[in-house]
Amino acid sequence: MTGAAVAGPTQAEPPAAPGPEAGPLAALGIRRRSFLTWTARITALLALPATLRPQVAQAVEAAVASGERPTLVWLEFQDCTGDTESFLRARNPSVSQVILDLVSVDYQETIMAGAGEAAEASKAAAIARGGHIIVVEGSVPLGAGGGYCVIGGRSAEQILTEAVKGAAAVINVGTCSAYGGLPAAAPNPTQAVAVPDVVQGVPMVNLPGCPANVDNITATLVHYLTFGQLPPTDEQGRPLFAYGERIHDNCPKRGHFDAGQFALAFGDEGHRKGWCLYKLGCKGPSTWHNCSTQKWNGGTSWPIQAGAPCVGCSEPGFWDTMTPMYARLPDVTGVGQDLSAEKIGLGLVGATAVGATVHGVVKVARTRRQLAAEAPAVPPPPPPLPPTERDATDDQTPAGAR
Amino acid sequence: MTDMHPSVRRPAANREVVVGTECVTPVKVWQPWIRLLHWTLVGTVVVLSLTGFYIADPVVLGGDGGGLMATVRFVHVLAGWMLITVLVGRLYLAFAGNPWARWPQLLPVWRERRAQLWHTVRYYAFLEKHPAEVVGHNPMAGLAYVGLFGMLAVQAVTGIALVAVTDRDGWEWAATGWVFQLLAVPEVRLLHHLVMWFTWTFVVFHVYAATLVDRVERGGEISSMVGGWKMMPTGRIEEELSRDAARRRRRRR
Repeated sequence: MTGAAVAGPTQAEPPAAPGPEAGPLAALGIRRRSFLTWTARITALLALPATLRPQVAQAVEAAVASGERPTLVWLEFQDCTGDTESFLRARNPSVSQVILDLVSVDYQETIMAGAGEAAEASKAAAIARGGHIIVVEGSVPLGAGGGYCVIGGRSAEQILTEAVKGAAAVINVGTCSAYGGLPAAAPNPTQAVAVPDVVQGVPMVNLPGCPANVDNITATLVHYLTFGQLPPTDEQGRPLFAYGERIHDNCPKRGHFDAGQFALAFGDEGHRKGWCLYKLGCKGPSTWHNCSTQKWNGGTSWPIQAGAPCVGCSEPGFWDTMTPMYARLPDVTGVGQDLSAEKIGLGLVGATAVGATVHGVVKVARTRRQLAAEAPAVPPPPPPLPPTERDATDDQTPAGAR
Repeated sequence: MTDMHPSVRRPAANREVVVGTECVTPVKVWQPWIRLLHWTLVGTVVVLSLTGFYIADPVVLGGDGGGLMATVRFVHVLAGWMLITVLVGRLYLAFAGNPWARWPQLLPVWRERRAQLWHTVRYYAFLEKHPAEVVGHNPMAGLAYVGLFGMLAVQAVTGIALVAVTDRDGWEWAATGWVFQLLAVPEVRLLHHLVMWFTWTFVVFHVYAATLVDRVERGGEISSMVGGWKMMPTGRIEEELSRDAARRRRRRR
């Protein structure tokens, strides 16, 4: 579907607006053809109808022409800068420039020229103006009074709480800011929490992933520029355009799954043939993300295509709920040692069987002894269960119950 | 005996036999529906476990695979719906069945049943020579079945939830999506797998208890689940039926 939507409009429609090399985009050195290709791609990625492509193009052009660019403040807390790295690897270099020109990135620790007091002043000014977009990368540690992540003498929690005042939207890029991610994994020594656990009441969207895919970041920004609001989300706060479908349901190896063809070990015959990675612990069946259609690094490849099982990095509770990475079922933890479901199940069934056998042997032996002992007292033929005995036992029952 | 449940057959006086000094009569304890549900449940649990094992840890047959996973998953989901049908049917009979299918047989709400429960516990601890004299389920078995139905309900909910992940627009997700607010998908799979093992633990004990009461205590338990008849002391049957009739009369007033 994505391919058709991309190919259709760009080839069939001639450029709608002025001459091919006029307008504000030409001034930035962007060819109209590549711009329209890009807008078609973004429109398809956002799962919008192709008829909305001109609206997307106009919104982006208008934003560039007006010069009124929304301010973007990119905050990094407990992170690895992976999402920043991902953001800087936009698919189309010239169009990534568009995006960087669409929004005024007033604070981004990794790429900004300013440092120290100047950088802090730039951020303070952007926040004071209001209407800015906050992008958060990394989780927020609450432990030790916030002492695990301090920038410019203030804790991550303080910085975040101040920054969202007057903000138009908060975009959580990466699993750490969206759900806590790796820093929040057990035993979570810094008491790391997700951004939604610290701030509420601001339009917010989660773009989880380790890292978040730049295509989804730019598409979210374009959606905001085009419609003035964040894209619709699922129960986990993730945009449906990017996280609406399960990886498994759009996986190129899905045919091998349904067929029953599985790689059993890395490098075995099935693995070399590109069979399903299910038995190697693939979490594609547990993960909602558009990796299988959008791919990574400009559509070059993505983990499952490269033969690595999905680890479910964009799900809430990653890492704890998605490990072990190379086994299908998690172990049962917290019982002294990690036990597999099979060990527990076979243990329970085996123990019950042994217990029942022992009980049965004892019962049969006692019944035989009882019958033998009673045999002389009762005239032949001896009844198997003498009624006098039975009645006497029953009569005592209510007393026993009390 | 005027208000007896229509499905109960009166103990036929001419079929009464004397064992020792005791009069025993064949009585139709298990309605056809109960027996049908029982053996359907046995079949579905076996099919669900075998297909479930494959889904959890598939064997690779080689060749083109033959669409095995797709087929097995289809059978598993189909058998899952069969299981849910059995559960709904049993729930219906718990309110509309004969006196030995109804819910007081499962939950010891009556003082007499609680006394029999204690008696049964003592019986299994070798402190009583014979089990409590009941026509239908003994109260401990009733509680065990409540536990079994609870486990199967967990399987039903987690099973529907694991089907729901294929389509978050479907009614299955609307009904069971809340499960994933509590547990991640792999954790739900683990729970589904563990409860399957708990079910088999129940099966082992259930088969043992039935064999014990059938072979050692001569209660006719095993054949009763095929034909529905049990040999019971005549007085005991009359007692339970008159109590049930009294309850029906009270309820009607």
